Amino acid sequence: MANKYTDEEIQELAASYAMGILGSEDKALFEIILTWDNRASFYLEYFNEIMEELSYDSAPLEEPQGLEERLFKYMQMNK
Amino acid sequence: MLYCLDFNNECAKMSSKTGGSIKNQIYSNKKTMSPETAQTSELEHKKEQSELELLLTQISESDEDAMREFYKKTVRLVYGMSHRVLSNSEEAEEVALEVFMYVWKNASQYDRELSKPLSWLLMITRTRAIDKVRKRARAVQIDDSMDENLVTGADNPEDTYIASERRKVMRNAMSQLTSKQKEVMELSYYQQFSHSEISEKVGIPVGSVKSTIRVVMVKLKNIIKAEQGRSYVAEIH
Repeated sequence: MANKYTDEEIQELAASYAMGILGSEDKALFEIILTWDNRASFYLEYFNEIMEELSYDSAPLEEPQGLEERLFKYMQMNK
Repeated sequence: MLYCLDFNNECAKMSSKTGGSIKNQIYSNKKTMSPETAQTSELEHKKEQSELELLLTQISESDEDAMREFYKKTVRLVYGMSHRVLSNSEEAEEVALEVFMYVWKNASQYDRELSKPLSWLLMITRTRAIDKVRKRARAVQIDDSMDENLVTGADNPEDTYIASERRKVMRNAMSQLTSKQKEVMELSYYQQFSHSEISEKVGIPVGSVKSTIRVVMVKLKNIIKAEQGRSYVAEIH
């Protein structure tokens, strides 16, 4: 089973999985591959690091006033 | 074993054996950050990630203080990402609230094996924001919105130096993508369209969409690593 998928195929799956755009079938497939092919977890970690960097593309903004209070009111009601 | 990602080629190579965690990163002396600064930045970043992971564990046990700390550490990023997608302050605020409500109820669903805490959080944010965009059926504007963001996402004085440096590096990396690559990234990352939807919109085969996403992400990583003055060898043992 180890060579069922090429490096490139696993990389493509890992990249789109990290991106969060795999369809449900491919997502399930990749999660199965993750359980037996070490390349999958390695590439996923690799692409997750890029996702991490991508998060810096959006500038942080000052939080809206009152948001924290609204959240904690919700938390009190949903303990 | 040694997994080696060769950034001069846009493909990853590996030797055999079984996996583990990344052990070593080798820094070289290129530009932007000194090796020491890059290393400090990386260490601080990893520390922050560990803290967020711990907080998520505590939140899953209904720890309100942990939730408060997690919120304070991440709200500006969540709101910034939400605003980036929605371009509307009220809606962005609603999405940010929904995201943190979701975290409060579902922190136990976070799986450190599948993503880093910040990536997980921002993926939830993007998904929720994009759902809102689709609900209001706003016409999709692809054009150069990514470039616009690079310009309008001006540095916030409250940003930490490291976050600000990372953003500059990311912007520079983005600016080096071709227009087609930017378009695919915009549709996949910011709008979360499926492969087939992107294929239709861009007019390339599904297989090309998949490979473009892979190539672009490797390219970005390659540029970022070069910018940060590092060569990268990941050793797994």
